[in-house]
Order: sequence, then C-alpha cells, then structure tokens
Amino acid sequence: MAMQQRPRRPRGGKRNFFYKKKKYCKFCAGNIDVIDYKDINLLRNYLLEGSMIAPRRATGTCAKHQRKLQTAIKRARVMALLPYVSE
Amino acid sequence: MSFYETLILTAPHLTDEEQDQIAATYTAVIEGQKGTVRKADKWGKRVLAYPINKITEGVYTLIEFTGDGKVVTELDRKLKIDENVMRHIIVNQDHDIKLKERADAKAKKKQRPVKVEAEAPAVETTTAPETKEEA
Repeated sequence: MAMQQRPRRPRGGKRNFFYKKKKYCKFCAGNIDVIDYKDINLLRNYLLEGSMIAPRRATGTCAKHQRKLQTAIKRARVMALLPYVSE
Repeated sequence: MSFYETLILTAPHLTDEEQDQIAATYTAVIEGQKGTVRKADKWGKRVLAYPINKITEGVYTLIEFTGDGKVVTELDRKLKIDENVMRHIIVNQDHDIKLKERADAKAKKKQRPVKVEAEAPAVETTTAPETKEEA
C-alpha cells in the first residue's frame, strides 16, 4: 500500500534526487523521555565518523531530545565510555 | 532527600579484594552521612574508550543511593582524594524518575481499553457453537 503513494523513479535506472525518506524523532516515537548516559549502544547510533555528535538534520531527532542526547553523550565521554575523538 | 547515582572508574591493577572494597568503602561513606544505598553494582573490567594516563582498562562500579546534599559533597571529596579512582560522576536522578513514572502512567492508560476489547469476542466464539449443537 505504501509503495503506491511513493513517487515513481524515472526509467533508465536514474535515481530520483527529489524524493527523500522522511526523518522522525525516534525518542518521540518510542515514548522515551529519559536518555541514560550508561546506555552506550543507543548513544553510539548518534555519533558520526570521528565520534562527533550527529546534528539534528542528520538524525531527525527533535530539539528536546537532542538536548538530552547531548548531555548523555558528554557524560559518557567523561567516564571513558565513549571516545571524544576517533579515526 | 533525593535520588542519586555514582559511577566510579578505578584502576585495573588492583586485586580482586581491593576492587570489592571500593563498593564497601563508599557505601560506608554514604551511610556515615545518613544516606541509604539502594543498589551497588559491579560492571567489572572494561576497555576504556580512550587511554587515561596511558592506562587502557578500568573497573566500573555503580552505586545508587538516596540522601541530601551533605552526602554528595562528602562523597565527592572522598572520591577526589582517592588515588585509585581515575574518574567519577554523581548524577541527580529526581527529574528522570519523575519522567519515567509519567511515561509508565501513560502506557498503563493506553493498555486498559485494549484488554476489554480482546476479552469480549473470545467469550462469544466459545459459547456460539455449543448452542448450535444443542438445537
């Protein structure tokens, strides 16, 4: 059903550059209000290569949860659970 | 009185007995200031995300406790003095606990109407064939 609503890709194997999958805040969807700094596997998903904190525009996280994520990641970094920098 | 949590990172070269003592010594500190320990958890040895003073491994211990500000200041002071403690963090959990309770209450409200609907049709299906057989 969902396939019909999507705009069709043009023929000839070219990508449709105008169609993007809509991002959403996974914490809002999952009803998660508390982000724990000890939950490293969750926080890893929000680190970019080089272990920088991923921006909202990359992950779709809402402003409220991005703030909580930020403090959680920073706390984890102090305790050497997450790296500050990596190659 | 508030809820707190400390995570203590200690050096890996300690013996097992000394590692066991870490939790015991700091529970004593908390209880000395009229706080109560709710939970003391040992994570064990872990590889650090980055080396601290050329040390690549560490032992984590987590202590959850309740108490007032005096407990926190005393615990923080003792942790800073201890040479075996590489890093430590003390976090107030009052706000988080409130939010969790709210989320649980919301989840319960959502669950209630679903249960009633599920039970009703199940009863009908079991009784219906019996009446047909009798007729």
